[in-house]
Amino acid sequence: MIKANNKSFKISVMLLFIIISSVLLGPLLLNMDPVSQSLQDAYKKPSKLHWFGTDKFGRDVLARVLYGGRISFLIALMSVVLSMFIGIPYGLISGYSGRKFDAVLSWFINLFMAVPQFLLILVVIAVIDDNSVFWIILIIGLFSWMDVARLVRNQALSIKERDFILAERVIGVSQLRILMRHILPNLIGPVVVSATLMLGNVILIESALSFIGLGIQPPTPSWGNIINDGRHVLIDGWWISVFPGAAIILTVLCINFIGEYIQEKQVV
Amino acid sequence: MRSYIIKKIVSGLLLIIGLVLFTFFLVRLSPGNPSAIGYDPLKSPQSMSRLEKAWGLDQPVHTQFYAWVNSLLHGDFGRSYANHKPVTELLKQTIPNTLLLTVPALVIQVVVGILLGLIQVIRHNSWLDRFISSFTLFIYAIPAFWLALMLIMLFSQKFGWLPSSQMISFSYDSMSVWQKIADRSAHLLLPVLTMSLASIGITSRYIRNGLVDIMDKTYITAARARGLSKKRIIFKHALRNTLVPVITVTGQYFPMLISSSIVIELIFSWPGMGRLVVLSSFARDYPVIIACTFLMAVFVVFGTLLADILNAIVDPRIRLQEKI
Repeated sequence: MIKANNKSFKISVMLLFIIISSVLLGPLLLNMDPVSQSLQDAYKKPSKLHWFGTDKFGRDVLARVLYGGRISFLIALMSVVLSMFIGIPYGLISGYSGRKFDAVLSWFINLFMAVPQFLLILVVIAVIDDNSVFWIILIIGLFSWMDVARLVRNQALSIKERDFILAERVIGVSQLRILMRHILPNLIGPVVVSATLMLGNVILIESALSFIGLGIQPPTPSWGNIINDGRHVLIDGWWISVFPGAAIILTVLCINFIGEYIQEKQVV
Repeated sequence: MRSYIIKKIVSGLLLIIGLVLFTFFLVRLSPGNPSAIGYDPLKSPQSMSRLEKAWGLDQPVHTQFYAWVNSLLHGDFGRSYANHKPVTELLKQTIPNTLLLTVPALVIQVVVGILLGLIQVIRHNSWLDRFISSFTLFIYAIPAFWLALMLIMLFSQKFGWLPSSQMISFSYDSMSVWQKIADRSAHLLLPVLTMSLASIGITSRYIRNGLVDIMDKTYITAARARGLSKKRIIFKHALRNTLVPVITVTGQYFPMLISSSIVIELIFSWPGMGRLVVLSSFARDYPVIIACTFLMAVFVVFGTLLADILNAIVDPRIRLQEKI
């Protein structure tokens, strides 16, 4: 295996910390409003006053990117938590119950996985016609649990057969205790990796949804819909699309580096 | 071998039956009424209920489901609510366009991915290896729609080299055969590039990590002890054994391919299935949404099935394992 790259991990953690803290604190310190318009300031280039420039309504793009980041992080975090709440118990039950029940539960995982995730989320959000943050979290979470469920199932299946579990069983330890004391702790590592990588993935999904117009609705900013704002002025207003895109890439990149690092640490 | 394939086909069929149920009820049971979209406030409430009646929406859900399954078995997906054309006709127009986009993207992604992975293993732990690793991880973090916009910004708006939308130019009909081919390729270039670039990292990482693992195996050590060159070992002994993970990952990649085609078709105004599904979602055009979702899912099931069968052909251990 490759040696886990310590340097890139440290840089990623630092960058992610900077991104998160500026997203949380930035709007307070800068005292800028992401929705207040001033038409005489429309399409201003990045300058000392507006670091990321302004959009067609004269709104400050930096303020919008920071506020949009709050929403993107909130959605990503909550939907990952939700999908863990579904996926982990589901996988445990599937891996721990008998072969027949496991086959049925696995079939459901395959069924959900057969429909492309983004398509599934897009169709349901469009049909429900409610783009509130609550529904977006709910729907992304409801259609993202399959990977974790499968992972937990496979892990539970393999751990279940190990000698130390059999030994516990022989001396009469209860199933629940085995589950809580031995199976779950062994699962934490792979689940953390999967959750981290999912976090990056959900940020990408949410931004694509908002870009299409099915996610967060303007004037509320989100990284995806700010990019959409700049879509028709790619040359004359490049800053509107470029900066939120860079924010997404940087965030997802850091998250993926961290996820990979944890993964490699476990293998070693 | 035969029993393995039959088993896989049966489980694929079971999944498709599940998908018939799943896609239908997913769309129908979600709140939201399609007749409200075509509804004009100046018209009477009666006209709205007439619409519902014409579309069969006043029937109980299970009756609607039977009607859908019945027409599905006859190869009919019903009529679109939005433009009243048969859904099969819409699909016939859009599916070839989507294939025109996705097949080249898939081929490029697999070929370039394998090449990049190979370079990384041959130059293992060199700066090149690390550079490609970081590059693919970087590419992987870029949202496909943003990449598309940036490519449009550079190649079609700044330099004006390539068209930014549609499949053909306005003057297409008056072109000679060669001009037509050039025109089509020019329109294809940016969307295909976006699509393959966004996912090149997936294959290359699998190849690289798979090969690195294999290089630690005892039979490779044995080959090395016999004094074979590194290149010969990689191409003759190791590469074949990465075929299984590559086939698997390509099969698993189908859903992602569809997901990215949705956004990319939308940006490049490409008249394909992905764009169709988004536009019909906005219009709550149930028959089209259900048909597209179902077909895309069936496509994924076939992809996985094909990957399973190919793997069984390539690696006898897989088909034998099932028997034990």
